[in-house]
Amino acid sequence: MADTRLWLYIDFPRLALQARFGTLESATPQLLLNARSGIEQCNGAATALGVRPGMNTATAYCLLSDVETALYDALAEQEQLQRLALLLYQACADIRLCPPSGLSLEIGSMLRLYQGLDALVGTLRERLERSGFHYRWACGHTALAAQVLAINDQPLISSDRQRQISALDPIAIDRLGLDAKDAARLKSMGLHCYADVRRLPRAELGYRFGPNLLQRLSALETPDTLGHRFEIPPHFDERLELSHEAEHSASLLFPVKRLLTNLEDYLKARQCLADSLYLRLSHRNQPPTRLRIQAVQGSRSAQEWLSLINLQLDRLVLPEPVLSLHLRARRFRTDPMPSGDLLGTAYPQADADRLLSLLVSRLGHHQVHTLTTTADPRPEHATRLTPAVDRAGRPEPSRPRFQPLLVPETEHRVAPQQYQLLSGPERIVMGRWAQPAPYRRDYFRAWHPQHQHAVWLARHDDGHWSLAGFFG
Amino acid sequence: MSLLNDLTRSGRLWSASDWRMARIHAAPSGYAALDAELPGGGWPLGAVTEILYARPGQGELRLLLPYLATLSQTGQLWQAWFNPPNRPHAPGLAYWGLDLSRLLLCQAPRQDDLLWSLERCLTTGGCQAVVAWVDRLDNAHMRRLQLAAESNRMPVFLLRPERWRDRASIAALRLQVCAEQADRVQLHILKRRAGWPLRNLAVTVPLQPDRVQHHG
Repeated sequence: MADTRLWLYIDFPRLALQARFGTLESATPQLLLNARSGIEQCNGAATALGVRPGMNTATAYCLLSDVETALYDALAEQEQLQRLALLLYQACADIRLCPPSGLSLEIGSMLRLYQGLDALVGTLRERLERSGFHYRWACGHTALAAQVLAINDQPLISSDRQRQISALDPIAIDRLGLDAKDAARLKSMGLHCYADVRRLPRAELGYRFGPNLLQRLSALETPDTLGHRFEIPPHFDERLELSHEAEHSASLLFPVKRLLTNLEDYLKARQCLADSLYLRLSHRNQPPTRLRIQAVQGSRSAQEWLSLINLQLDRLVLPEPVLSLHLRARRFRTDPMPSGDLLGTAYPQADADRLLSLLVSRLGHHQVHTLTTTADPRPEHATRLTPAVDRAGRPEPSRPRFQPLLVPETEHRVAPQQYQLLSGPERIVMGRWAQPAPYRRDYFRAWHPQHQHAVWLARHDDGHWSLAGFFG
Repeated sequence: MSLLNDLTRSGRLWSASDWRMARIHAAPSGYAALDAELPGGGWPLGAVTEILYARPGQGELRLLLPYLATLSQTGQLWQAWFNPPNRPHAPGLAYWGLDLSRLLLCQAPRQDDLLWSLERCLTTGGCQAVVAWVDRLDNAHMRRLQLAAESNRMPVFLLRPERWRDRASIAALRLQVCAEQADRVQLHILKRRAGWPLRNLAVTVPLQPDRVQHHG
């Protein structure tokens, strides 16, 4: 059986730069400097003025008058590469990360699904353009061949094996990723491009150059994988360093939106919903501000999350300017099919859940409750308030009693002679085994002729009377 | 003529001879004596109802409970209660047949939070009725609530202290509760659509629900 594998290599030459400065093309030259004071990456404006990656910083400064610089951050670059892999994961199953800035996709197995290379490449292109990252790519009959073509700006998109093989021929020897010493020696022998080397007898090459060169050349020709396979991380966990300190919570909305868009991609790739997010705002000296945002029944849409976060940010007073954001989502639920009437468009449960999410975001987690009855006979413990978002899904048993509708939060002593007792006493006793202090009270329904209200009175063991409730 | 017809039909314009003809969406309150005097024959849906009372325990909540309990048994929507002055007592409410799992108890100490939340309850379609204990409420806000309630056909009940009685209000229905005995109140209808004010309407509001009538 013929090998149907086909590789697409995507290289992001400005990955770290765009991860740092954003994906919009800036008119100001932007440089990313590495530790050896060389230029790691630069943007289009800098390239136009003659700056090249690998150039000495001092040289670059001679060419530029106005410039933005930042230090190269390998970790941020890796995180961004993961994000891009996630973005493409919905279109292609086998993605391999090739740090620092490349992705290797096995697309041969996807062609039947997409019914042709054009449709698949179209989907990938659309996703890449949406991300805004500068990229270059090429197909190859081996992963390494695709990489070499992509890095040498040979945008070959074709499933024709012969064209893929011949496309490698004109690539210069020193651009094949060979050992620099080997490449120089080959060059000095008058071999300038891949085609020249390909025609030479391998045994002789091996004899002169050693096994490393042979391995490299055979990897270009026989299918093998590159890098390690991308897998969706089990949690969503992303940081965003702000380029300017944010003093007002309103100015956080835009960066938060960026994180939420990533979250949406993540959730789409995992086909699930998040039901709570944790947002941490880091400050310079103060402890970080933490926010918990909840959407009842879960949500995926960045827009919906943004509106919920907006409600909290609106009311937030920042103790100090914010330096960075950290968004985490750990609990996920599977995406349920909307349940509702088949014909209509009304999903009452969804509306109810959305309302609850809104109220909780605005008023706070501990200001929105549901009520349940408890088995405790003592009236002041008979009602349990549960934060509405934490309520159990199962129906709670209801324990109705002929008791008042409202109960005062604190105990009020009253004089019983002002009341007309309507009924009672109804004694509620709880044994010493249940609580340290004995509980024994007699309850009376009563009417206050002057104040004209119906109440519930409790006579305590020591003889004093208190107001135990109102009959609404 | 059509404008006149429209206005008459919605109860904004009424003639003294046939005021009971006005078509107002309403739901039975569970108290026959009260229903007879309320336009549409019950609590208005899609309108703000103001209930003024002096202190808790005068029947202000008992007036609403038969209706709220029946409503809570239907559908999956919330019944939102805002800022009750005392803690609602679950066993007592359950005794009236209120489905507690539909009840959403919200505390919104700040006025702008309260108004925002009330409006969301009315406009998102996630709520079946709103009950709010409010004190001061200016007319512009009241009007927004009234419009939101109207366009979403939702009943809104505002329980307010008696001292707001003489202030102008935009609420479609205003009642003042004066308890006479523990289970008997005198209601003053201060304002209603398609009708004139009415004083001293005696209604029996028992301390416990009339089981035969509501849960038979």
